[in-house]
Amino acid sequence: MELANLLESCRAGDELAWEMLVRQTQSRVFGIAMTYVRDRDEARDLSQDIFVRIYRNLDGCKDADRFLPWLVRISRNACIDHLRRRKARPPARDIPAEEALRLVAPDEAPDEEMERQARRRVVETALHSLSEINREIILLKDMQGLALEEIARLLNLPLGTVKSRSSRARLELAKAVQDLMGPAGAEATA
Amino acid sequence: MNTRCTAWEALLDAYLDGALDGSDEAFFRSHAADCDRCRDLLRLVSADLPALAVEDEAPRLADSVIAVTSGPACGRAEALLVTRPDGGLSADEALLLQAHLEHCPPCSDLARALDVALTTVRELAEPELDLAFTYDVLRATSATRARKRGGALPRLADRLGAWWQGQAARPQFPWEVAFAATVVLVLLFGTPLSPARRAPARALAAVQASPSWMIDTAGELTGVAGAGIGAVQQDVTERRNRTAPDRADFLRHVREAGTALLNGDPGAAAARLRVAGGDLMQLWRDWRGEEPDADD
Ligand SMILES: [Zn+2]
Ligand SMILES: [Zn+2]
Repeated sequence: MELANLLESCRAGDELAWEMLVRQTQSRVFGIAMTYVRDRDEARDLSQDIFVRIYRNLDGCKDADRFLPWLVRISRNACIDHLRRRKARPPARDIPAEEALRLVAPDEAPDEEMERQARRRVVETALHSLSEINREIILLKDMQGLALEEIARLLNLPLGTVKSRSSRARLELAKAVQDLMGPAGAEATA
Repeated sequence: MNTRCTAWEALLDAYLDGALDGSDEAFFRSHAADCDRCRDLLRLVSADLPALAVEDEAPRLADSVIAVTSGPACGRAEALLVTRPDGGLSADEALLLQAHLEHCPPCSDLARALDVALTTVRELAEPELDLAFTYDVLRATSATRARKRGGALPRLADRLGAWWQGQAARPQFPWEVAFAATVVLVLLFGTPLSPARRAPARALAAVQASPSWMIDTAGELTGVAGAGIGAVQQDVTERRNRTAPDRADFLRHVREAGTALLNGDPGAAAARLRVAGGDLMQLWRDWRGEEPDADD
């Protein structure tokens, strides 16, 4: 189904279309939330809130071609609001989400899977060691694949600044990964 | 390496020739004293400068040779390295970078780390989610939808929902009853405005998942299970008819509560809602053909 049609059906209140849109975008939204809050449960709750926002604002996305930047913008704003609120009032720990419903890592190829998990943890840690602005640039450019122009608009920065920040952020990230892995780790993963 | 270093380098030849005048020489000496790089460079090009020699470390000298010779090239390589993933390099730049990486271990290490970082970051863009996530979103947004449609009734449905939740949370209100009641409420009112909206999530999910299964369940609840869908539907129709007055009462009281709320009288609205709650319990009893509880 074309994205434009899907969005149109969502706006018209078609529950099935909305369900499909949620399924198609939920991992991406969750990924964005995870770059702002590292805790899985917190990021999951935050993602729920993001979808409520998306749902309320569906009328605001007229152009299917600009859906992704629109989605990222809403998600980012929600994450920033969340962090602001959290700063004001530390979160009360909820009862842990139903672990039984979790998709656990598949059992097959455990070595490969473990290595992948380790690599992800390293990069996640490296990502969170960056400054806020560099982390956001990595998120928008390298994770979400937004165009530099979109990022400039979103962050309200000149294009040239976004470009040079993107380079610096990548360099910083690579160096942080290098530090965490050590030369041997880099050899093994390459 | 900064503009002072550049200025300093410009004076280097004149210094070695002994041709620097006062202020230039003062700058030259003071910068060499402050700047490791320039001091080392000076050591490289002049054999004997005891006045400036601070310490003699061979490794640092080797480092500084690298810094002076390949250092700037590494900086350039890094700059190209981080723009390469965007495909922005010219053929020549790509070639020069590749050649540098082949000969410079630190830069090729960095290139590998960057590869790992960017590949993994793309993986992190869409982490796996548990199966219940989509359902939770749909539940949250369908509540929003009811609210979005506006009017006093949805807001009242919210409050009624809270009441319902309270009922369901009572120990003597077991999950099975909540589930059964949810089936009935869905049959009677449909979901969007249903006070069952906040009924236990699993019950509502099950009911919404399969209407035909709901009819079967209603059949079990009504004791005509196994008699075929027609019999169940007939039974449900009978019960709907039997509970019609209860439903009318319930809706009337909800509407009255809505009017009270619109008139700015939340106290009266709450009282009407409590009555509506009673209607709901009556409705449930009539649906099941029960006598009122003795202790109620
Ligand atoms: Zn210098
Ligand atoms: Zn190099």
